[in-house]
Amino acid sequence: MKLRLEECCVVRQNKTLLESLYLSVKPGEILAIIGPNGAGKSTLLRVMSGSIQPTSGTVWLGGRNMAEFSGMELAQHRALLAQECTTTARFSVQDLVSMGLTYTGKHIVRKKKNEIIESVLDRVGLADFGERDSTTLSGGERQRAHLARVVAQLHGGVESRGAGILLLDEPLAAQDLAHQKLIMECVLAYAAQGGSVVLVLHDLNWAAACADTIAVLSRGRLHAQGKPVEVLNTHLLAEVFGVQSRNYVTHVGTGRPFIIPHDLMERSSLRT
Amino acid sequence: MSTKLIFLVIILLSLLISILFSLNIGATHINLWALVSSQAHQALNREVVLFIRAPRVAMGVLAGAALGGAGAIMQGLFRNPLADPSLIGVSSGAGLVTSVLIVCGVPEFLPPAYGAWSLPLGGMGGGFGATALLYLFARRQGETSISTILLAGVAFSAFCGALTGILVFRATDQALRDITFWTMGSLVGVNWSRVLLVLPFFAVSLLCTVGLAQPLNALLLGEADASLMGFPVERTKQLAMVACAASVGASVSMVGSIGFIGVVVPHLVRLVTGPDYRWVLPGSVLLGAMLLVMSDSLARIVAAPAEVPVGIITAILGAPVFVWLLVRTHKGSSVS
Repeated sequence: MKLRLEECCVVRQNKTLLESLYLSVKPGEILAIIGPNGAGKSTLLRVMSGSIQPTSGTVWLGGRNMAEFSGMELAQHRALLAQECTTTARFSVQDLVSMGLTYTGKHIVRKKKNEIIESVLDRVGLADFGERDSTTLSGGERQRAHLARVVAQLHGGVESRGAGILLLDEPLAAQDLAHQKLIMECVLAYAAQGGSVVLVLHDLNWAAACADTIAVLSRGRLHAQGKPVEVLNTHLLAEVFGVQSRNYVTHVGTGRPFIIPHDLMERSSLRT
Repeated sequence: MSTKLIFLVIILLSLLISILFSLNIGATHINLWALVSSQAHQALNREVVLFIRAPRVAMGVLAGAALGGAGAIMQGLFRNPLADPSLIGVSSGAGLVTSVLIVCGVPEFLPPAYGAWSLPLGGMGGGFGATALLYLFARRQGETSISTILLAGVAFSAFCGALTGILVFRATDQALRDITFWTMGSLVGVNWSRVLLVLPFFAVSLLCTVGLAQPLNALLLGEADASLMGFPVERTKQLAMVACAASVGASVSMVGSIGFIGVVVPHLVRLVTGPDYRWVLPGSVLLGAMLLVMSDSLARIVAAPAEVPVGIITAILGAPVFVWLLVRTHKGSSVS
């Protein structure tokens, strides 16, 4: 289903968090949201999930106003991985993931549910962690356990009604390189099945490498939007991130930009 | 899986044993078996068991179940290991109204038939009223702020405590004794008609609690995540509050405020079952009932022929257990 934001504003306590945003994600598309800290990326993701109502403007999900959806309907169409998932409750990893299926997977028999749980845990690299107490996991492992929960939630919903929308807030933040790759593979696979993925990323290179579209958010406004090669350039980095240095962006063979601070490298090599 | 089931069966059996035990003790020695084997000269003893001890035990089971279950629900709702049923104002509201009635001498003022009922009914009204007040206070734009309830609940309890203090200050000696007895909780004087009166409230509470286990599990991940997964968060809060107010309000108005069962019991259950409310809820209900019936038996034994208020027993036993739990879990702040 297509998700479309139309002139969305979010105002909280007289502070404008998001200003007149137009943005859309199609089925099968990967959209990366980048921008400096405090730009409103997480708020934007919450608006796209329907858990925050825009102060003005409309979020359309498949041609229907998102505000008209019930919580249960929304849960079948979209799932959101928050930046931080903390609980002191000692659920096993398995129980945690099955929680995602409680509502959206009501129609699924127990055996099938267990298969889903097993397969999503395998996909996020936690195949042998099912019985583990989730409070004893490392930060990265815990984040992946919650990613598995979120993916399982869509499994329940998507099975009956087309592809869903996966909203991930900094899914790579706590991951090592191997697991960053694993998660991005999950994302690509999900999009290949016809699902939409919206990710908030700080690593611009992952955004450049995997996203179909990049949206640049700055102080609650959409600064730029387009293909990675159109959006990521030295000019933008200077303007949005305030990084004043020359030649950040390299284009590698794939036609996708790669960003690296040349001047820092030069300085480092001078030191040696 | 199976250890959890065995655990539930063990608590259930101990509950049954404690019920028999509690029926068996008292001022007169009665052989329960002789009663069952129906002999004519046992008529008086049968009366004692059926109309004095049995309703008391029944109320003990109900009140204990209410406190244990409501404690578990409140800890989940507030995501706070120290939460207990008193946080939604139900105990303090009931306490205040009861104290007012006692000090004003309302039970003596009314004809005896109504006078006996004025305290439990007034207490119930006070308890429900207080919870409703807190709920309305915490409601903003269709959402209930749980942290507002928590903070307002603490303030409300302190305020009611102060008002009750003023009443105590103004009270006659007899009224003072009645208030003290009530605030420490006791199952003295429970009869079948009182048990019957609270039953509908327990039915309401039970209806609300069915199906609440999984939403409460999800709430442990936070309201935002629970609602993203499709859980009806707002309805869960309402059902949880009604369930607790109905059962605790009804039992508190009958037996006074009995401390520590609501706080300690769910933690004891979680030691065995883990955080899953599908096990914690039934476990807390059964263990709460068992502990209150046992405490009431103790209350009758330790100073026989006099009776100690049962709230003193539960606090004396409960407080050390609670500290032990805190030390044991190190973190001291988990609902797990």
